[in-house]
Amino acid sequence: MKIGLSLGGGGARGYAHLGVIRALKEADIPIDLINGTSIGAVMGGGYALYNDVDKFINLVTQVIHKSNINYYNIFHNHSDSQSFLRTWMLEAVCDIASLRSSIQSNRHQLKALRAVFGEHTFAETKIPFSSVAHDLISGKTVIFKKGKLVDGILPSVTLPGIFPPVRRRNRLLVDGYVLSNTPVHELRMQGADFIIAVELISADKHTYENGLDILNGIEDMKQRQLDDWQIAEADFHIKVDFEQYTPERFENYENAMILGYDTTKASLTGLLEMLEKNG
Amino acid sequence: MGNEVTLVLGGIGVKGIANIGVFEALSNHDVKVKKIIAAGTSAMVAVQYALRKRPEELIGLLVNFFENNHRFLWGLEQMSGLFQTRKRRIVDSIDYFLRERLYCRANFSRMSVLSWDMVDPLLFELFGNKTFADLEIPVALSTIDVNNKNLVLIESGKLIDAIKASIAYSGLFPPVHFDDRELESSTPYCELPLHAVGKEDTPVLAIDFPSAHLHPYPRTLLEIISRVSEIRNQAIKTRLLIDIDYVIKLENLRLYRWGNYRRIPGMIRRAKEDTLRQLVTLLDL
Repeated sequence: MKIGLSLGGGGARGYAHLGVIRALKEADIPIDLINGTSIGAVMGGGYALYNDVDKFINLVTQVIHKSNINYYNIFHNHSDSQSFLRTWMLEAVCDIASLRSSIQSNRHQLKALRAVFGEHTFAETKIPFSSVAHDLISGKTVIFKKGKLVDGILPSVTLPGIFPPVRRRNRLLVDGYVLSNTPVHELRMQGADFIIAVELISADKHTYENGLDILNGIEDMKQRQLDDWQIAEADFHIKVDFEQYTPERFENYENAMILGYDTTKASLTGLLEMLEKNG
Repeated sequence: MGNEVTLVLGGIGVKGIANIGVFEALSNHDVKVKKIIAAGTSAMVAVQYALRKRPEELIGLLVNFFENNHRFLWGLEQMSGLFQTRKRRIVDSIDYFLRERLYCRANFSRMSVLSWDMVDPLLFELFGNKTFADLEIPVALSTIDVNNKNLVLIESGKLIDAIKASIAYSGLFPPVHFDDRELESSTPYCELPLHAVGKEDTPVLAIDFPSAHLHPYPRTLLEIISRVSEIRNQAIKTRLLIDIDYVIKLENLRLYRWGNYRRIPGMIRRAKEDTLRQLVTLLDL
């Protein structure tokens, strides 16, 4: 039986994936396949490449301290951003909305990815790994499993509107969260028999001040629905629930890792039972 | 298909009004409607039908309404032009830039572009103080509670308020206060309210407006965000349509823009033609 691990997107909350992987490793649960969307692709790719949680954590920690990978998600009305700054920025966005494809460039993301993955390729990963992105032109999900890891993971972390889409031949690639935030279906297609889906969620504190906020709330609803359908296909679901954690700030990674670890530890009995039942 | 169905109606913007043509086609073939589930502007058509009034009577009133308010609504028509491929001429590019900016500014700085003051007299003229209890066919109108982001189905209360909630497209109209909730249209979530269909509703006939792929090659920030929204809409609709017994696709309306109110009579005619043609197969005539 091939056990697959499907790691969901969620910005800085993604460090929880490393806690999940550490707990699974401690319980001697083998992982035969990994895929991920967005930060799930970064964490999954890193673990698949090094097959050593501690080594990867050290590497990621160094990168966080060296590079500026925080971003400001202007489209979401977080409680800490209801300020003059947001209004001012929203007005500035009006001026660039029809001239530019994104609010900021992806050079910091690219630099950080290069620092983590270097020139390594998908073929070098010790566990088969794939990253999931989305093509805006065809409207279809795209799976990367060949070539350089950086080239496959960069489109997966390209949040539409915030970062510019990645152009490849006839494709316009963005974050796979458009349709597959926790890409369970894609992992099943790649031959996983038993899938553990790791979903990262935060308490919903969405308030609205203008039409844009309402539209964003509805986009969240759509993503929630699509994600529910994906997760329903998984054999086991680990839901890492963040009480207060904004997906844009990458400094508090230690708490996220602990939360992922604790959540998985708490789910282990159920997971082991399911694995035994499925042979 | 039997001769009595639950009808599911939707359609973004003025496209929903084209469902008038669907009702004409259904009555031509004596298809009886036992219940209607509607979202968006199709709510007006559904309620008109359920009040046993002729939906065609709406056409004149709506055309007059749009003509009388053209000086306020031109933006609506222009904004739907946002969803066109960028043109090459410099003048058109400036025009495009200004329209996008208008849309963007309006949505970022206030609750909505339009207000209810303009629409209230029309709705009152059509439905007065009638309630759901006055309807001869059960109607359920699909909306979203913007505070807790839940889908809400309205089946009782004052018709005008329920219809307003159903047509309140986010960003265009402000939320409607109804039963201690702030409600908006569910069409930005899924243009067809298929999520509201229950087992007891079978057989179900859904009237689908195929997507026009508004941004096949998105370039600007707004186009990219709209394309993401469009792709998700399509994915949700496709998934929900799997469980529906019968679907009529209004292919001829694919290229009509949601804000193009000058084309309402043409849309209705084409919707009728499409429905008549597909009913022949569905009814096995």
